[in-house]
Amino acid sequence: MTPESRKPGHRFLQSIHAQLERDRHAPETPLPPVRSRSISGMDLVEEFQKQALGVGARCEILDGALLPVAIEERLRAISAAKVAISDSPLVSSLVPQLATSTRVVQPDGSRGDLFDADAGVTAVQWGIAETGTLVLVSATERHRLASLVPPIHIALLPASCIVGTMCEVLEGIAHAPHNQAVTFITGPSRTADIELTLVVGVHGPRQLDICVIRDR
Amino acid sequence: MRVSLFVTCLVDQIRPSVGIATVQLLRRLGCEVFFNPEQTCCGQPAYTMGSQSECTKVAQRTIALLESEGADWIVIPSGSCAAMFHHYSHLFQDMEWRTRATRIINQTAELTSFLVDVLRVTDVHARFNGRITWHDACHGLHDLGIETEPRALLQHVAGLEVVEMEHGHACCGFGGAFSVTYPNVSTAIVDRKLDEIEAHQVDAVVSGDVGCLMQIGNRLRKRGSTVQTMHIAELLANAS
Amino acid sequence: MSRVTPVTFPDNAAKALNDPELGKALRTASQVFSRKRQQAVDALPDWEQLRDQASAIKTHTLERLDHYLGMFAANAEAAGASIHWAIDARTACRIVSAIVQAGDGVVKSKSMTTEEIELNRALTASGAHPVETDLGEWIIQLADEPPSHIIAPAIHKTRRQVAQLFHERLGIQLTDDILELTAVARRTLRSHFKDADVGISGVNFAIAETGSIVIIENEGNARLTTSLPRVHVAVMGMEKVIPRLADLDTFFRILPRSGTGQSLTSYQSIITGPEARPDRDGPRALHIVVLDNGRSRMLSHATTRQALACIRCGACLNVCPVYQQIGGHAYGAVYAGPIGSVVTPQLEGLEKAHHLPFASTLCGACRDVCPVKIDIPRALVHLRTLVVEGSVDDSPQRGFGPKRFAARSWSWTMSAGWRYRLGARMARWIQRIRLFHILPGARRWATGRTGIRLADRSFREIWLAETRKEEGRGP
Repeated sequence: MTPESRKPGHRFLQSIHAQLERDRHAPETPLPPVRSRSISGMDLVEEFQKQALGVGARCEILDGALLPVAIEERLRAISAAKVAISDSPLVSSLVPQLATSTRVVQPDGSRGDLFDADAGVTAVQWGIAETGTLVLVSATERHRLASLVPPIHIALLPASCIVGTMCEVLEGIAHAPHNQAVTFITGPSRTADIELTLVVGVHGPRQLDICVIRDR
Repeated sequence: MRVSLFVTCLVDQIRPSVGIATVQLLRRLGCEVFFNPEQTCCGQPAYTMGSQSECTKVAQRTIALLESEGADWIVIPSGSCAAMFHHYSHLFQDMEWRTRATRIINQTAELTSFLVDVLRVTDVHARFNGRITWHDACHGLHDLGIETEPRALLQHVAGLEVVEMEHGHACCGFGGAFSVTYPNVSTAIVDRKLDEIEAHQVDAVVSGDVGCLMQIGNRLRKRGSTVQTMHIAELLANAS
Repeated sequence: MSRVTPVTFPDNAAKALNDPELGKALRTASQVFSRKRQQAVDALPDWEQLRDQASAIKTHTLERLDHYLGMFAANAEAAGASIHWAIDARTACRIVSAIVQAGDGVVKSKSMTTEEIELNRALTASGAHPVETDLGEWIIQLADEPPSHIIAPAIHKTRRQVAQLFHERLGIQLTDDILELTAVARRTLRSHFKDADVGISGVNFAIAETGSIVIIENEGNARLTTSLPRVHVAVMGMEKVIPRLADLDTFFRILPRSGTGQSLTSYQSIITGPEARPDRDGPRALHIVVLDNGRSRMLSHATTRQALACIRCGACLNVCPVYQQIGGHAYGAVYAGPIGSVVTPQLEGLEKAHHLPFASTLCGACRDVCPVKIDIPRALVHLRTLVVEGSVDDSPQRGFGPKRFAARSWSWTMSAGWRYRLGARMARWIQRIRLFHILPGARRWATGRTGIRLADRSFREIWLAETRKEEGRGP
């Protein structure tokens, strides 16, 4: 950064400073400490499922070994001709099976294929029990578009990755700020812009199908 | 208990029965009531009109006047005027006046709050045969948090049927000068309230603020309604 | 299309009152939002502590805004974003127009700030065709209207009106089915997303400690706008910055509940810099435009500074008795309702927006629901004083003007008991000779209400008569 290019910012901030100085009362409100929250006394996996169902997602808890069959069933139920996937090892391990009944679109596939896909299958990095929320961290996995563009998002969440509160996730990602995009997903996309009538499925997926995987 | 009555300019000039009822009620409850006949106004009209400097002049006079009474409590039959007193604390830049204002504020109470929170009385042995609904005047409700006190008092009035409106909390649209600056919006706001009042088929609307009663009452009359308006002091003053 | 402005607010309000369909839509919407908000708030036992926390975080940050903005900018740049400083709307529009290349497909997600600077108009003038993708925003873009509510911009439109609009502008068959109308939006906007080169978004929060921007939504269009195109432009009001990532927990809990009654919206995105890795999805360039546009003027006094804490939830609009009658368009500005009446005079100037601070009954309902505890009535009185007296300290600068004169006459009358009583006696005399209606305000009062009647005897007169009677009776 040359000194010249820093000038606009400096001037901008200086004028803010000057205005603040004009307040003769010079108040000093302290920054309150972070209120850490955690939930206890409940099974995190059960609570996650309850909350996820409550916001209109599908949510099934299943054994890791049954996963390939479960995914295949889901894709068959929607007659999926094309499926977009992420680069997670968990998802990649399903590809051989998936490829037998549907066309698999790799993360570096064409945009046309992505927009044609009937479903997207990705893993997710965390689940938040108190709200049934999924957390996707872009540095860890390439799933930003596969989880968004196709009308159905099938999300694979290891049960051990479910934490209690949003606080815990924010603490977790604060130490890795190089993450480009962290996305929180709570249920399918929705709107109530016309006469306040709720419509599920607008631009994001209209169906969120969560598979919570109990690791052995 | 020595009580100084700040009767408010609206009560003084437009509905003095509220002042009379307040005095009767306080005396019945064992208070010694004083009234300084030189009092004028709390200053709210200038404050809301946008003239804090003119409001300050009147506020200073009112503070000095009430100080000279030396009463235990200053009681006001109006939530909006009592709330205005609370604004005195940020009206003055001068430390001396701030202190004087704070002292007065700490001794000031709106009528229903005085009865319930200070005298700790909810049954004033009143009787009123009729079906009424309560309108929460905004300043009393939002500025002073007065909500349970009037309801507790009304609950103990013999013969009284109290109907709770779904939108009893909603503003009546008076807003002081607002009622004449934007009479069309003001009327539209009160009409919504009156539709609910008329649907409940009550004999009277009761409130703690004469400004609200003027707005509601005069619109009711214009609409040809026979529903009456009452100040809670007038209702409670009816001894059983 | 000429927009209404705050200058003609009284006429705007009168027009709105004569639109019963609008009134019905507004009151239904306000009631639904308020009810949902109350349910969501009641579900949180620590709601008041949350409000205190949110208010303290914002107050602290605004008192040191230059420090936190500087920190945000440094961290955002370290993550690879480009920071642009825009002192006013014109500069902001110029910056964005320069980023958009000729022939670029441009998609936009919902941003009140971009409405404020009229970005779409500027981009269109420079040859670009920005497409709004939020359903409500897209509807009003097609209708060429401004938003009427902070979070539900097309709330003033019935489904029939939307259907008619789609039929006229898109040629689709008339249908009353909201599901079908929404599907039309999805289908039509999909192609724009697919081919977009530039995505323009707003910013809900900017995190100083990490240089991240945070976007909250339900539809998914903001995610598409900020992850598909190769360039992302984020326009943010400078007041959006908060100190820590952890503070998001507080704001994620209060904003959705206050706005729509949801525990959480469908999506939150925390974006830190552009995507540098070739094996990852996301824009290769992130431009963050930091906007002043009059906000700094609000910093010098605590009463107006607090209004910068606004997190754009819209709760104040939903409980405002005035907004419920006249809707957002009457305010003639992007920010309407209670918070709009505070912010607009500061951003657009008091000369233009002097009506707005007076367009309130000061009932205080807004203050009670504000998640960051902005004392809106106090700010409105502060602005009224600026209009009438020119300053808010002890020495009013403006000595003239009808309101000031009225206030002076009033306080002169009220500063002496005998003047007050004389004035009352004169008014009673005028009443007796049936000329009450000539008094200032009397005619306006009488539109819709029966006239005010002074009592025959004032309380004071009755009190003194009674006291004399008792004294006459003797000990």
